Amino acid sequence: MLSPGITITQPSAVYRRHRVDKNQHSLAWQGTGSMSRISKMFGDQRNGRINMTQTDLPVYKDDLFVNRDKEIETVTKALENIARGDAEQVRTIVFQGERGLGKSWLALHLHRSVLKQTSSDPPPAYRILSLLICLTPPPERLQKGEREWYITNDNQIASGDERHYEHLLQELLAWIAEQLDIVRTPYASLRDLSAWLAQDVRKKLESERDLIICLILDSVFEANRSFLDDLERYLLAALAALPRVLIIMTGRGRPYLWKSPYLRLEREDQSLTPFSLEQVVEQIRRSLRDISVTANLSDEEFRQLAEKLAKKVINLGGGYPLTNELLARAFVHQVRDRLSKGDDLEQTINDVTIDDKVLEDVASRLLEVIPTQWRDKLREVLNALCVLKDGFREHEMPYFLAELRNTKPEGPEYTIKAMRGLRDLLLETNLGRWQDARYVLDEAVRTVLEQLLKSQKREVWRRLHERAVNLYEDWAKRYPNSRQYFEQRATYHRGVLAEDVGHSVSFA
Amino acid sequence: MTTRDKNEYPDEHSLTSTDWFRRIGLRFDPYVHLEASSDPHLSEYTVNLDIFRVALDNKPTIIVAPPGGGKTAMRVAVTRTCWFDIGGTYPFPLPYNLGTAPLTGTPPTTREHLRLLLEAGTCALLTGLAFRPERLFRASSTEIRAVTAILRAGLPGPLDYYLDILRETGTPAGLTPLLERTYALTAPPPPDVLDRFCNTLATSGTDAMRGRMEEVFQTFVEVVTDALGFSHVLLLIDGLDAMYENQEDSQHAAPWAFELFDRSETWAKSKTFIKLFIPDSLESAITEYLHHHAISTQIARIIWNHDLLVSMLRKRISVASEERFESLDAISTPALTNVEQQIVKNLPPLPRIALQVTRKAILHYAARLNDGWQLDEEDIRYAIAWYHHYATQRSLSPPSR
Repeated sequence: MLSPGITITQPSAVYRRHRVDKNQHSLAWQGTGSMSRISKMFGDQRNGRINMTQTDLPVYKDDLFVNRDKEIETVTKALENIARGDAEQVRTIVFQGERGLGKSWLALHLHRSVLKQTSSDPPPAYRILSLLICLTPPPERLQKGEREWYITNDNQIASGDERHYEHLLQELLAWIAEQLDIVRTPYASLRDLSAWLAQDVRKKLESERDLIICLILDSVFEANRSFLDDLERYLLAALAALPRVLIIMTGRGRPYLWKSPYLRLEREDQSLTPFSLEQVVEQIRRSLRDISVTANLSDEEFRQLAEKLAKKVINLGGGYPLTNELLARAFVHQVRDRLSKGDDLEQTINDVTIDDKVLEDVASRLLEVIPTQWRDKLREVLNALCVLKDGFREHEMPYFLAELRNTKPEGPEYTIKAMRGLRDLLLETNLGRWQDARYVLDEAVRTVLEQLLKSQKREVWRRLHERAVNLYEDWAKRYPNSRQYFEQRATYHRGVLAEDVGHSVSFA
Repeated sequence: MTTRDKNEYPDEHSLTSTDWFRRIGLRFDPYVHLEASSDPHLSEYTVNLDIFRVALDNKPTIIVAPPGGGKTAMRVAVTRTCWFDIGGTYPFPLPYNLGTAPLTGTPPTTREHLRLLLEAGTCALLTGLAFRPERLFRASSTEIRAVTAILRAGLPGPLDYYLDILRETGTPAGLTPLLERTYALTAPPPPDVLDRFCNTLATSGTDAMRGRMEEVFQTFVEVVTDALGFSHVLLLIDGLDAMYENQEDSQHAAPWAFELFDRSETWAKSKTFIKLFIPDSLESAITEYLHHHAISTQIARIIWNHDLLVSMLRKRISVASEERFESLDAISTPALTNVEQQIVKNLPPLPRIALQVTRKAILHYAARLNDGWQLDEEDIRYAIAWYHHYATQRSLSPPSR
């Protein structure tokens, strides 16, 4: 599946700077065989469908979507159980995952493709009315589809303004009533609308016995907590209690604790996982398929190309679909440039590497979810902590921040109070969360940032790992009750340094 | 707090302030409410989810727990959950506290039970509707008259008296201490909507419903389920603990529930389901009676163990921190891991005690928070020592939770 997450903000300044001039695609190519075909593949984009820059977000299309069979099966089984009226029903499904893991694509795919079909096999037959509610603005170039509701760019949820939330929810409830053909009075208060909607949807389900309503909510956990409280009170709690309503949610970061028993008890949570090698190959094949000359490559040649790129992409980015897409595109651009100089295809594919600028662009894309005013500050924190794959607690933060700055963790900047402030910023952006007794960074972001740090500032990267070794060894001695806990961490960092070929390992 | 406590921790009195908890990343003190009905967040940190499910479903049920084992907390959590939304199809929670029934020395008759249930039901209904008047507004004028008639029939005082209180206080919270304490709901309506609610009831021009108590109660159930849209009625019966405490023999308290279970099948047909919360000492007497009379009832037991207590303590931290972290580990020194486990492994498996001891550890930590440091092993040691010292000398946990 090619299912990178859909980013919700406008292109950043960095992103705009990296837009590629159209003329850049009119490179003249000479050559024969596969090299020639590849040259055309990358050289003839003005008239083709691929005119994306290296860091443009890919836009969902049904035929680009691969993988996620397990998640789709979860949804279809839940629908069948609801249709049969089984006593044990899953009425809420939550798909969680890191930045760029394809949650929004999954939501779109379920709404636009999977749930479009009316089931008649196995019986009983049922009719699905699916509504997609995106709590973030749509990405650029995405055509808004039927029964889809999006927060607009100037109407976002992060404001913390209760009146704004009320207005948004009023608009949302009126829209839902309209979609369900139970419009009463769109100008009623939110509370009145909520009370009416609950009863009217119940009546509709009673009168249309083959109908299942499927509510898909995208990017839920990223929304403000007060907004989610209102969303549950005025919409979800009532709908979740109805017999033939399935609620599907996607979200990143710290989950929200719902109060309704139907949202808490009759729920299935699934964590999306990064793509395997085969899936990345398929993702690359589909994403490059449209390039005009691709068809001239034999299937086998094309598969070899995709496989080699996929391995590189996974090594660098960990297999997260959005990262895969951005890295693969960058590789392809490099291959094009090399081939234009007459290099051999296979050799070129083997030789190309991702330079710092590309990784920086990918990192910038991934970090766009951080509000601009916090971005620099948090970028530094993320850089300092990105070596901590196993997570961290607040007392570890000052040591790594100071190491990054090449100073001692002393003074007001390194107090626990200051660390808690930074921690809260991280959690607010949902790029960090509490998991298994520690905070962990969003793994998609962490992987890219560590790769970038290692590539750009290898000595700093090594110093941070060395800091970890020394710190955890020291704590293992100092805190005997937690010795094993810290020793495991010291061992991990020692291993990372040992694997760093070409550099001697030295600890203080 | 004792004088000794105050001397040891002079800053403790100031720790309830929101500011202090914000400093450690919590929106509120998650351990302060030992009395369930006063805790506004109670329904958010329910951990006995299987029990929660049966407490809400449409089957007669007995829920058994030891004193201090969370019966009242579960009852309050069910009540607040049912009223969380504005107008959905949740059950109607009717809290019936046998502990407040008149002490006549003999169990109430069916008629007396019905009268007390109607009173408790209308108290709950008026309070709940004051928080969620939209349920009433969407009813037809005939249905509104039926609601008014049943309220006038069941409330302990004149309906207009309660409406005056609502108008004067401008908030439904004004009714809660008078009518039903567990109905301390969130998200009250704006004053103008509350005023409209009062006028709607006051001007519906209906007298109190009259008739046989059985018929009146049946009408109450129909009003709640048909006119107001609740899915079914839950009779949340509690307080048998209080009865047998008074009578010093649990066998004397059990018959107070027999009369209710004799009607449970009839009630079930009209969407009314008994949810009886009892201490474990009463279980055998009641289940024996039900078995002997072939009365079908499901039994759920709240069984606390150390793992569940850890979950409970962590859930509270999670809610208070808005899911930023789920354990006190997050604010502890490197020396301290699995804080909650370290606390509960030294205590009997009862939630009230775990809450008290955890709070004691936090207070100990708070007294030196200005040092800018973190929760430490010493805080945990102190709290556990405190428990062992005081628990052996006095009762820590009066049985009401």
